[in-house]
Amino acid sequence: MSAAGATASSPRPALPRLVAVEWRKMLDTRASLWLVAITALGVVGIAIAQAATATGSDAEAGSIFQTCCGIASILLPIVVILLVTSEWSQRAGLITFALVPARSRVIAAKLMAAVLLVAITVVVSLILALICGGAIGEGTALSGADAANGALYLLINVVIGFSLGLLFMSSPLAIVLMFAAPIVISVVGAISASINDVTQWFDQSELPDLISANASIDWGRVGVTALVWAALPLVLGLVRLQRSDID
Amino acid sequence: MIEAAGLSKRFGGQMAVDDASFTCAPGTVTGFLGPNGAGKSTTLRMICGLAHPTAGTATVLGGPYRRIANPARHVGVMLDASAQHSGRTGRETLRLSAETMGVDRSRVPEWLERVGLDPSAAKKRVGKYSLGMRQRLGLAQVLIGEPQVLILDEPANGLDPQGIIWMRDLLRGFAQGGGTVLLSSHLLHEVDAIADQLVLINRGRIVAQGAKAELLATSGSYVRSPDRSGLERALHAAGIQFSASGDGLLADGDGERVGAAAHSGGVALSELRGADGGGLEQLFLSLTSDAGEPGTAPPPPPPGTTAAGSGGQPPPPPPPPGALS
Repeated sequence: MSAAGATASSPRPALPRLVAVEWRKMLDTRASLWLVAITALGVVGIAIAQAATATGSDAEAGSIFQTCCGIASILLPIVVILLVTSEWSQRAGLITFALVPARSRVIAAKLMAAVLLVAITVVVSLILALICGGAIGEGTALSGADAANGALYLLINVVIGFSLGLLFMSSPLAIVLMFAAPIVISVVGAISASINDVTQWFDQSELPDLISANASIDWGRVGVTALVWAALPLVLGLVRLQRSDID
Repeated sequence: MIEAAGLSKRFGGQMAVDDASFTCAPGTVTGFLGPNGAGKSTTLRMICGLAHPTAGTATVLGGPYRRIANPARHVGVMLDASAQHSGRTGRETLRLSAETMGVDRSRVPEWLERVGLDPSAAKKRVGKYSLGMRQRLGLAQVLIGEPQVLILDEPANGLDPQGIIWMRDLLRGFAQGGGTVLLSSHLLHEVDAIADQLVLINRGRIVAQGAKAELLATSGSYVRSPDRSGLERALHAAGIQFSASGDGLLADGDGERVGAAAHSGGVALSELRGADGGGLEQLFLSLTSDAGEPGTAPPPPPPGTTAAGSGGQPPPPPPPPGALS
């Protein structure tokens, strides 16, 4: 057998296998396990609290679900940031990218694992909201818009975290930017109406209002904000990763 | 089979690796030697596709590393044993690697045992591991893919004496089975004990390479006399080049010539022997002694030559103890 034949004999790791590996990485460290556990506790706690104490439609499943997604979208982006940045902060990338030299495949697998985390969170939150709304609150009323908006908001936040983690390859930078940037932008945007005309296009802190179930979604502003905070850093981060040396 | 051809890496204005070319053949253990910062790790990263060369190419098993579909099943790479996630257990770390490369995870306990990590150690988080335990875990991750080629950066670091002997036997057995081993080290003794081929790098340039036996064969004689200056004069008169080595001199000639030179110079010797005992150390120092004074360094011998003996002018004597403080 020739050398070239020998190196081709073992097929490259299939993407589903890489996703399974990244999924494990997301949950098998102490830090991320605690974050996920705290998120789960927070989601359960808030669902029960809202069902028990809110009144009217706020105690219905649709509203409870949106609150669950709101809580999850604070903590899950950190889980996802750590999934990405640990390749550098823990220098685990030296093994990861030696095992899988196609770096974009690793990133694709991580992103799919992150989206899977969002999907599972959404399903669990839906069930939880229906149970709490029906058993403790004011009923199981939950519209398609409720479900879609909550899920979309969570997804955008998680992908923003993912992309910032990839772009900066540093946990503190990505986490600080994830939470501090919207505050800074909304402060700047509050200076005057003309400044706000600009900042409203990429102000993350307005996402909850933009994706509210009470009005139709302003797709233009949501789209541009997601583009600026999720898509752009993701593309720049991929370019940076391809060009960089791992060490 | 590993082949580096003209590998170069520039960091800013500095050439970290400059035109490095060498070959590692199946069935051999190649020791990649150099002082800290000489460019060893950078070269290994370029071979494994983790760093982009400024110029040159590297192939492993006949092609670029990054083209290998599932590299870990063919090439075992351990570039830094301390670069592992501290929050994961040893077993989990190995399991992730096994799953990535498609090795059945039922083999994880077996390999943990084979590298000497017992079940209680396997359950601990890597953050609590000593460097030696991380080396063992790193080797398990490398070996579980059953590769034909091993590329290891400083694998002996942190291992205790038993661990070093264990690794030595393991790597020798691997090469005897037809495998190719390239390992870097700054520990001369370790390389001397394991490697049969040597590549010496200094300041990014390959300064010598070849079979260890050949490289060390020309190291001449170690000679010592109470009358050192008389001995130096005698060697000089006989046209034998030499350099200082501890209390004595390392002379570029066999014992017969050196003894005759001393005799005709009327110098009594207190010691005369083949220099192979401290051969690798001497070779290493003679080839890397320019560290720190780039302007005055003589040009290194071209690669492939059986370099030894640093010429007629002995290097300046080291300052007396305390002079630096």
